[in-house]
Amino acid sequence: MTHLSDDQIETLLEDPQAVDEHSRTCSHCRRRLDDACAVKARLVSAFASVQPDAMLVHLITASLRGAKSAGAVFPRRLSLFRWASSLAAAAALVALAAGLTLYLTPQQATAGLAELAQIHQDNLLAEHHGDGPGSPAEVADHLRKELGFAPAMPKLGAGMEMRSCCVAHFRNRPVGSYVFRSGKGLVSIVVLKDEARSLGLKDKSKLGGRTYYSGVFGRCHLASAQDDGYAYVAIGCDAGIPWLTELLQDLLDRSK
Amino acid sequence: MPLLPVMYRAATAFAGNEPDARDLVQTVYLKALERFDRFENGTNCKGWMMQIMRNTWIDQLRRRRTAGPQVSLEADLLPAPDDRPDEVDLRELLEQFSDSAIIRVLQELPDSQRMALYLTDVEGLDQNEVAAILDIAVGTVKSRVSRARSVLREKLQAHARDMGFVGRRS
Repeated sequence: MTHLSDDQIETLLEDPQAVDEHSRTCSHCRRRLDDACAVKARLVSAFASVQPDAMLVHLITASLRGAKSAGAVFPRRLSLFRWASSLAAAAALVALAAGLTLYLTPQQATAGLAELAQIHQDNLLAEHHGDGPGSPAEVADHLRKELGFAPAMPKLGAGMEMRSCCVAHFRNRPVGSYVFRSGKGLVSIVVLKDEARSLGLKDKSKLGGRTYYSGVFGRCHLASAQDDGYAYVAIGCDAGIPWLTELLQDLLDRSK
Repeated sequence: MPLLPVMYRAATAFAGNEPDARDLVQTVYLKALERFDRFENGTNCKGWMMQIMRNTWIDQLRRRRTAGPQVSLEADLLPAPDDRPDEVDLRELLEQFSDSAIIRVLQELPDSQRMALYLTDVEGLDQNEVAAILDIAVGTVKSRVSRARSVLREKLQAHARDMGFVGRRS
């Protein structure tokens, strides 16, 4: 007798109407179905006791009040979507809890810049937790494996030191990023398959025949340039835009 | 915030501990805010936020993986546990464990299996929804969930044996 495959068991669990003669009469398959149902029921009951605690709810509620009294933190979205106030509260809570001010400047809060700043913030947290360092070769190798290409690297040494790298998400697509320590603090480089001009960076300049886009989001300075099919974005809090622009110029020239 | 309990439960299942779960759910809300203009009215908000959570969690795992011990993101190639004859009735076995113990044992599963099992069994999402959230094929959802149940059962049995609940036959 041929018993049901694992796939067929899963199909039956999702659609009990699909039960056929075999699954009705075969005690082995019947038992597998019953066991799967038992696991499901136990997991549901176990997680029923997991609830956000009073402190978390209190903090979110408090931040909701704070967002209200301080005016709309994200006015455009708040005016469009009622429940976005909840999200704004959570966002304000995160920023307050982390002691960051990245997200409290709504004038520059375009979604693209917010995401890039978030990648930089995550890189800083990862660096803070000691998720590094990696050598440039390791970083290149890791990103090549994850993304299929190795991004250009800055010239290291003389105070420049690679710290870590990761694959993040930008506009729900995977992108590569690495972070290094420089004389201007920690700087992230994000490499993505977008047009540099489409990232929301408004200021435009020309340097060595290449166009650079730059802008500010919260405490982050951002500069971007196009290199073949990829946009390179340099992000730093202590580094100014001219420094980031020159860094990109050097980095992209070195890759040629 | 009607989705907060759901998102917090999922964060607990993904992250495995309370501090990380709190951070994860807060980060997800922040990202949801940033991307809210891309949310399509009338579509599944819960699924959309779950997808953000999955991507956020994977990003965090990848960061840890670059330097720390290897974290298993894809465990599909691991052999399934032996389909050994049961020593005890599964229902009896499941009742031996407290809620928190069940959740702790679930944490021992590889991430890919744990996410698939959690979304399917606890959240009750259908296989197409889980496939969309995890960015995998429906067939892969089925195999991951099936494997996850087997692994969970094996681990529960092993823990039960360690604790003397089962397996001490005279």
